[in-house]
Amino acid sequence: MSPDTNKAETTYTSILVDGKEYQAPLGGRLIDFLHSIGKEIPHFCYHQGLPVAASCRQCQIESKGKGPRPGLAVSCRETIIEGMEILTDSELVRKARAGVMEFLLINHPLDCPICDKAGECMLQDTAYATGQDRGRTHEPRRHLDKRKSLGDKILLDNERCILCTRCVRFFEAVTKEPQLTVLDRGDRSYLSTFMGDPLHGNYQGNIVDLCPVGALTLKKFRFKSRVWFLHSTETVCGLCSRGCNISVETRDNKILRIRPRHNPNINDFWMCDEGRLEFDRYNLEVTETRLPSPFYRDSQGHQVPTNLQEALDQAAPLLLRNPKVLFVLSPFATIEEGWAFKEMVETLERFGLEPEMGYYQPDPNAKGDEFLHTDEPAPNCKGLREEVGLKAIPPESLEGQDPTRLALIGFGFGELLGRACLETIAAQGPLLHLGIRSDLFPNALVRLAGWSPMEKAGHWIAACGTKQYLRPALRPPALSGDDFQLLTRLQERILTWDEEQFEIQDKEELGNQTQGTEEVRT
Amino acid sequence: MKVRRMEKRLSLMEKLAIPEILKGLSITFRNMFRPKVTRQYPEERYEAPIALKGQPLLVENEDGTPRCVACSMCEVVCPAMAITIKAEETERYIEREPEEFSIDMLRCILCGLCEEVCPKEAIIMSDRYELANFTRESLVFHKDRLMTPIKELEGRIRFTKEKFDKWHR
Ligand code: SF4
Ligand code: SF4
Ligand code: SF4
Ligand code: SF4
Ligand code: FES
Repeated sequence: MSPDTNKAETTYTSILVDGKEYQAPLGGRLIDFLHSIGKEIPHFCYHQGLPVAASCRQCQIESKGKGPRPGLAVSCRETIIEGMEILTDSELVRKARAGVMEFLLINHPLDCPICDKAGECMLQDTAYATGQDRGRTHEPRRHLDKRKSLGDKILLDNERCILCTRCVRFFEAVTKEPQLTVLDRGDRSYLSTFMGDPLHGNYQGNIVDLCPVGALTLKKFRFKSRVWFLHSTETVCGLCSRGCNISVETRDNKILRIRPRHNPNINDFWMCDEGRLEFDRYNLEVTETRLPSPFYRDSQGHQVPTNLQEALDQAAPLLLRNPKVLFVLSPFATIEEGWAFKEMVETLERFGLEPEMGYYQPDPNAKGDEFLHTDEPAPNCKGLREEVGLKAIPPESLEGQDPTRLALIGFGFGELLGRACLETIAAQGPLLHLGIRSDLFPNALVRLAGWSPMEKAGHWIAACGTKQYLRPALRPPALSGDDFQLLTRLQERILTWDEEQFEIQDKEELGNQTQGTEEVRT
Repeated sequence: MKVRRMEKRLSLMEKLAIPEILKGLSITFRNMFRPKVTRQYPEERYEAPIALKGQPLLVENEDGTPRCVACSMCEVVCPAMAITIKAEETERYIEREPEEFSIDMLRCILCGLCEEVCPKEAIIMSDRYELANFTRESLVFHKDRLMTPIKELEGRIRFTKEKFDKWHR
């Protein structure tokens, strides 16, 4: 971790860098400090989240005074001591780094045009900076396996590997379960899993981010897009209550890749494979599985697409005429939506009705582990419980319910509800559903088209208690609406509902429509 | 506003206009006996010099595979944003080729940057310059219409190689 995170205990000392005096944290890592003052030190094997290997020798600097003995030293291994004097861009340093680059490139294939890393590759960047645009060797390059599958998530290209051992150290030091190693010696070394077994575990994807070159690639992202076309949004993962900080990378309004962002208090540099790879639930095709606009069920039982105003006109009397609606909010809802939800339901109480409400508290799943993934498969249970003050509704208490008095609000019920429970509810259809999937409750009386967590802004509270901000990464369909806005507009519609007018105009029609809910209507 | 018009007084000879007519006709008659420079275009075709930058085409190897590896360099360099590429994995040694490759010739400004930037000499400015049609769709060229056997483009490939080698020495 960077030295300035524990400022309280750090003492500072003055060191000379390129002839200029700086106050540097005593005992801190030299390369981190140099980066923090804006010196660009090329490096491959060093990573802040991993133990130091000092094997690539790219980060060399020249030492003049005390500390490492005068001459070249690798800055990723040096700690800052008193009276240090270093040069980061002397003739000697430049020559040494260029020499290292030349050796690294002797056997590196000229793969940039087909390599997914191009554009964000540290080797490419450093090669550009060093400026040696042609090789001096004539010998044939080393040929190794270019498409070695390491399990179902990752592909290894042995030719591109520069043997920095970042991936090896990740499994050794972070997940504490070594899976990769460098086999053979000298110029014949190559990377391999133990006995060639496939990788396992929920944290493999991190080695793809770590790899400074394109040797490790995600099968799911392979050849999907060049990285410079991606648009990246900083937001929060919602697949468990850890709340990992992520950047969501999209192209043409589609998520193509998700990567972790550094947050020392929550996820450090890492994230799990579930959060990284299971983004298809947000990439729904509008025509097939995505609810494009609000729908209501007409008297023949057909689903009719409609606009928001009409859908609210349909929903308000349903809620006003059912004295005991059970409102269930998805734990994917933001705090803001929690408040809007609560106020909307409390409005109904003012009409003398007895609605019940709560948020859905899903069963703990088996994916929890001692590293990142918690066993609560939803992001905001804590926020809805502690900040908004909603009651938890566990799956058991939902199972026995009469589906026709349910109002399911929010994204994620398709993933969270058990299959059996989902089918019973869907068979008779909930009263009201606000969500993004069209295949979920085809019998619902009113369906409002909402937004997914990747489309809206708001706050979630992670398991550790940090309130985190969500940013929209995707554009929602034109006729859908922000869940928060839909809830407030529904509340407004309930408040302004004119019973008299309703009696005259819509009674007949509505009577036919709610046939399925006869028992609960009094 | 009032406009004052200055009238030039014409002499008698000028008023007659005959000398001027004769002067003009003399040019006409002189040119009638000169060699013609106008081309009877559709019948008489224009042989493009090798340096002409016509429609960009994709090079097809002898074995029918595309040379392009879908690296998207041309897509990103194209100032008119005329190129759209989608990559796919292949079984060949070079793992990558375009699944979709289209050039919108309504947008293309024939600047030749795609040819210059391509690391594989896979997109080549051909000598095709007749780019007119009745529908917009017919001018968006997809992979099937862009792929051209390498034989047809050899001259231009050699030419660009020579030039680039000279400039990048
Ligand atoms: S695969 Fe990548 S991270 Fe692993 S040793 Fe090779 S270059 Fe380093
Ligand atoms: S650990 Fe939880 S929050 Fe982090 S990436 Fe995985 S599912 Fe998302
Ligand atoms: S010639 Fe220029 S405008 Fe036309 S496709 Fe190539 S780069 Fe784009
Ligand atoms: S630059 Fe060349 S190889 Fe790359 S995508 Fe364009 S045509 Fe294909
Ligand atoms: S980064 Fe310092 S030796 Fe590799």
